[in-house]
Amino acid sequence: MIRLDDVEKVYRTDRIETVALSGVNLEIEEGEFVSIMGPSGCGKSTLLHLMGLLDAPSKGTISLSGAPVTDASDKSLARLRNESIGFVFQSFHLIPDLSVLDNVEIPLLYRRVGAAERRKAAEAALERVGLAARKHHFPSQLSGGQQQRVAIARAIVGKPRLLLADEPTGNLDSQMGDDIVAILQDLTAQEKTTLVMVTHDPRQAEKTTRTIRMFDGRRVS
Amino acid sequence: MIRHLFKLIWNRKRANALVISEIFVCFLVLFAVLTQILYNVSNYRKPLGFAYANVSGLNLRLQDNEGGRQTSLTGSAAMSEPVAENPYQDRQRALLQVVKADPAVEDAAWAAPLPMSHSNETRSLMFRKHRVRYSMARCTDEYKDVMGIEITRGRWFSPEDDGGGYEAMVITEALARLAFGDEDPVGKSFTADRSESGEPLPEKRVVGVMGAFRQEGEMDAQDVYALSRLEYSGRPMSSIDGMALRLKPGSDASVEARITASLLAAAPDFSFRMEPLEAAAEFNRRAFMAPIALFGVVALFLTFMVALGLSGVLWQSVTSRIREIGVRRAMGASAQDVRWQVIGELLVMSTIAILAGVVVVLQFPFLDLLGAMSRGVFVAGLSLTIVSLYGLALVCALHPARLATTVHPAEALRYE
Ligand SMILES: Nc1ncnc2c1ncn2[C@@H]1O[C@H](COP(=O)(O)OP(=O)(O)OP(=O)(O)O)[C@@H](O)[C@H]1O
Ligand SMILES: [Mg+2]
Repeated sequence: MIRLDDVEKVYRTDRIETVALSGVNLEIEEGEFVSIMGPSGCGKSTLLHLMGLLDAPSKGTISLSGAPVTDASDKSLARLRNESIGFVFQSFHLIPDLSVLDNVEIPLLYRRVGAAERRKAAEAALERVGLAARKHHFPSQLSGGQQQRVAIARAIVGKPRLLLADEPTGNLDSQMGDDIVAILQDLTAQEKTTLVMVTHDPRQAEKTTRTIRMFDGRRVS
Repeated sequence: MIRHLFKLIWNRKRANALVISEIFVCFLVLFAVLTQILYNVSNYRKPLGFAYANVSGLNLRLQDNEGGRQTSLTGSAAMSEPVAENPYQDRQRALLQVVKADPAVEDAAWAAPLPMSHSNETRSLMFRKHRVRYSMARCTDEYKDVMGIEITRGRWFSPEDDGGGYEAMVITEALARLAFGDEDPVGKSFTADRSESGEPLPEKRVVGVMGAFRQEGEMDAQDVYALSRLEYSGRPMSSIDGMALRLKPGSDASVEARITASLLAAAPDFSFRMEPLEAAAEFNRRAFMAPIALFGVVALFLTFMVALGLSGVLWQSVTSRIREIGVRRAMGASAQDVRWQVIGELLVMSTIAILAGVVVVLQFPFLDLLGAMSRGVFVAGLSLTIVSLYGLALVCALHPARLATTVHPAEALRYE
């Protein structure tokens, strides 16, 4: 599904160089549910951003479904993000000025999809996460767990084959966290979506098929 | 996507109301200035109806020994006593001969009010049950050649009008249209339906039509105009106080001095003031342009301030929505998509403001408040306003939109 070869990421800011990742090799197969663990600052988010094509590696190559994407143009990267990748963030990142339904529709705005079809797909995605009744609410009117479910609906509305979740349960209590992971698990089981989840919680990591451990920018297992 | 932009703008209406009302005010100001400019340009390009180069206007008045009373050849008596016959005709003929005798004078005519004189004689009469308003002047037969008036239909005044018992008139095409519609006005009577005072009315007869006559010069919108023929024997002639002189090209102030000197020798009880019409026309143009220019500068300044404001507000909106931009990028928006969203939002807001502005300004034609302004000028002014406002919005959005494309998605989403 996705493959990283000898990937390095260096941040350069005013004379300070931070090596966030170095020599990372990684391959994730279709349909896997992988968790990434490691101490704070070890490069987990950086790794996820690279896999999500939000950032380019300083060295090495990333291939999606066998095709290298490292030198792709902004436009084709945007298209890949839109069609193949879904993102869930620790702090949900819903757009506060838009209703739940409009938030979920966002990925479809960047495709050639009619308004009615967009709406139908968004409603189906909300149904999937059990929030169909809240579609006209605004994010500020929802609890954290509900907001994260909306964010998951938004991530899956375009039916991506790769779902990346950066500490999706980090801001939630353990009960709500369990619900979220259950939804994600269900997705891999039913839709064969490939899932990569960063987590600090070993309990959640246990539910995944494989755990990758990071330390100081390197993959340790 | 447009619907999505509308939703975004609607949901942020608090913040956007200010921007929209700013554009709305700018629309009204721009509309006022642009239509005013277009209106004047369109007037300027209309035919003037006469040529004033090398023409001078001469005003005469009785020497000021009666407490500043403005008067004519007759003093003040003629106006109070009804006189059928003009008692001053010999003197008037003689004065015109004095002027015509000067070698620098090609031709001269008695006429009042003179072009560019700022004095306006308007008539308002019920004609064929419609109210017709027009401006007018009276003149002797030489006036056509002095002013280079073009006759489009019928004829100019001629001695055959002498003692015909009617007042001969040459009217502009605009007045002909107003009074007679599609009919040929030549030879028709242009006498009011009835006099306001009940007295029997002397006949006015249209003998010819001229293309135009915009008395106050290029900026004058009034083209509904008539010239009435002066007969030396007639009563209106007794109060005439103006003369138009066509001079040979290259005549200068010394010619003016010479003519006034010979006039003074012939009529020492009068004072004479002579001025090239070109100078008066220039004065008129300036007097006309000054307030428009001032208004234009103020409007330009205001537009500039609005543009700065819009740019600033947009800039601020981009920086405060970096997170949103990051999310959209992660969801598949390209840098171009983000750029167009910023531009699109301002264009949508502009559209709302423009629609409101159009509704307001459309009241003018509906309430018949256009005045002398033609519908064509109104529509052109409106279109120009809309185009310039969209242009302005586009220019204001360009820089903030570029800023939005530089938002790095990974960094925008990093900070919680
Ligand atoms: N934009 C950046 N500029 C400079 N340094 C950065 C930048 N982004 C990340 N880093 C550095 O890269 C390293 C890895 O950061 P990253 O966010 O990937 O860690 P993480 O494993 O996700 O940590 P956490 O568990 O706290 O989220 C850190 O040392 C961080 O300071
Ligand atoms: Mg992180």
